[in-house]
Amino acid sequence: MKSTWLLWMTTICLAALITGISAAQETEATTETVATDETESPPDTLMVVIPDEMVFAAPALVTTVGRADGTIVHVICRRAGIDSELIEEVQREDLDGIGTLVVAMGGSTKGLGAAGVDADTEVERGEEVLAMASVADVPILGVHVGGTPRRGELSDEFCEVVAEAADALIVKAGGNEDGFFTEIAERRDIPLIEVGTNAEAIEALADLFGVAEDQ
Amino acid sequence: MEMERRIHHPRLSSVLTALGAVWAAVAAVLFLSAHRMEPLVVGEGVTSIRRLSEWHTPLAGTPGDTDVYVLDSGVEGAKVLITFGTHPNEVASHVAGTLMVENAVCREGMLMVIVHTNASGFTHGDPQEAYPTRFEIERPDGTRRWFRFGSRYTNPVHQWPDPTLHINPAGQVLAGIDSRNLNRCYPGRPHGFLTEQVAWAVCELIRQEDVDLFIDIHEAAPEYPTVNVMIAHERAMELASEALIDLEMGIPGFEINLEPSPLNLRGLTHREVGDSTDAMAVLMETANPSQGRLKGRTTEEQVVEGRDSAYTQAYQHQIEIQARGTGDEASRRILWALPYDSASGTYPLRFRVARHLAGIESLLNALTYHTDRGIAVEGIPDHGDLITQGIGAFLAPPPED
Repeated sequence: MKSTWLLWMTTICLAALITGISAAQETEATTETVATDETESPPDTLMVVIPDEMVFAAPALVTTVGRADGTIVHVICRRAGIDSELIEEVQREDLDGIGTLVVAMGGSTKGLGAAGVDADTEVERGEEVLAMASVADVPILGVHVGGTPRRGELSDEFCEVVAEAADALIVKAGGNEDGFFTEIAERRDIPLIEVGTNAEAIEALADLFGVAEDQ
Repeated sequence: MEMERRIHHPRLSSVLTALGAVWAAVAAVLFLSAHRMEPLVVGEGVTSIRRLSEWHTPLAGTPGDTDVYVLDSGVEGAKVLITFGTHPNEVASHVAGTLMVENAVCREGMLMVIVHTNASGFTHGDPQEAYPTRFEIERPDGTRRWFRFGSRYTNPVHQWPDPTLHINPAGQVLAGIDSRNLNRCYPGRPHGFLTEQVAWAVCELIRQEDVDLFIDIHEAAPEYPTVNVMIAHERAMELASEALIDLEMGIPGFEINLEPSPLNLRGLTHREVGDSTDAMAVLMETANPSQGRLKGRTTEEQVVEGRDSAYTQAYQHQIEIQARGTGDEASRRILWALPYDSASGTYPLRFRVARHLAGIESLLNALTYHTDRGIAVEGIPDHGDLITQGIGAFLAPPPED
């Protein structure tokens, strides 16, 4: 009987001790602080001067490599006053009469799932579309508006494929914090426009397409 | 020998038995109290309260029936249905719904709000999670409102047993427990499980009332990739894109992504409501640490303040590896949703509710500005005001019992 009571008391003491240590750790950790939140202003944007001769022409064909953000980029184009159309599965004939191929960069697991393709197949498809545009002499503009969530293992492969083929890049600053796009743009000597917000992306697109400000 | 000792302590046995009975009685009372729904104060904008069973009569009198708050302007316009509380452990959802019912006024078109869409799920918690059954939010005058912390699933007391596998109404084979997960049961079955009937009733409401836009409000773990997003059916992608751009332009630093509803992930609102009704369907997610697998003990403070030391450490670790530059390690993300409050490294409920309400308002505005069917809703608490003043500032005084 005594040994049973002793066992109970030991168990209770141990439980109390573990709870106490856990609570102490909790208190200690909660005093720590970390950075950035959504109430802060976006980072300062870096506007790269685009050569005068580099004006992208409308109509634009908007597509994606990675199945992400195509509709958003299409809406941004429309708000910039650019005559544009969104086609996810671009065929060679879709490029006829097109002034610019605007490619939304970044991966979406849900988008890939919706299309019923895996990442490798999407990379291959993307490379084919970019090659078709190159052969058809259609300028390519890579656009990355997804910020940090559209970077990482899945997205980077798609971003790289597009950035390596593009004639210019528009990238939200949050998606280029590690200089991923800057490195490619500098190495390939292509213009990179880094924007802080979608509003700036609209402005940048309007500038690139030479759309009058009053539109 | 042992037997002899027990016989010699009949009084002790009686006392222990009595204590056990008292403990059982207290536990029973506490258990049954979980069936008491949190109070909600109907705001001036609510023109009628209907029951979901009006669109599917077999639900009447069942634990699946729930209130539908109608905010009818009386002016011709768009009709919008917003469902909150599909998963009652995603607390920012039903708190946001409560704020809508208590504050919003419709001036054009009609808004319908269901705060406790899976009403049964509010009556219990998830086994082995040790969730608190309720949490409180303080108002500026010091009075407090309480809210239920429920389960992701319909109460097994109301729907039991689970099948071994659940072939949901959209034909996808899922784990048996998902027969009680409302957001795997769309578009519902009129004679199916209770949860499937709730989904059916929601779809019937949308069809019979000619709803133009359907919005479903959720939360997910901060480490889940599909978080801080809108997920839209293909017919709602343009509308959601417009809303998203407006959101980011209107609120400095606000980041939200848009994902297409997968064709092969079946039973969820953004897919099935879009496919089986004429409404455009959008689902929104915020990050909730009390749902995550990295979390520590789920306390009321964790639920309301979104404070969890494990998530703070995970975030710091992520910052450190990203600071090391590019490379495989740097490209791996631990958290897809960074803490909303940089000062404390936390995910406070007020930030999550503010995100949802801002998203809803932006979608309503996009519907008005970019389609020929408009809706005008006033009184939705402002994103910045919610963050600075807190949720309590927008809650009505607690009703008397």
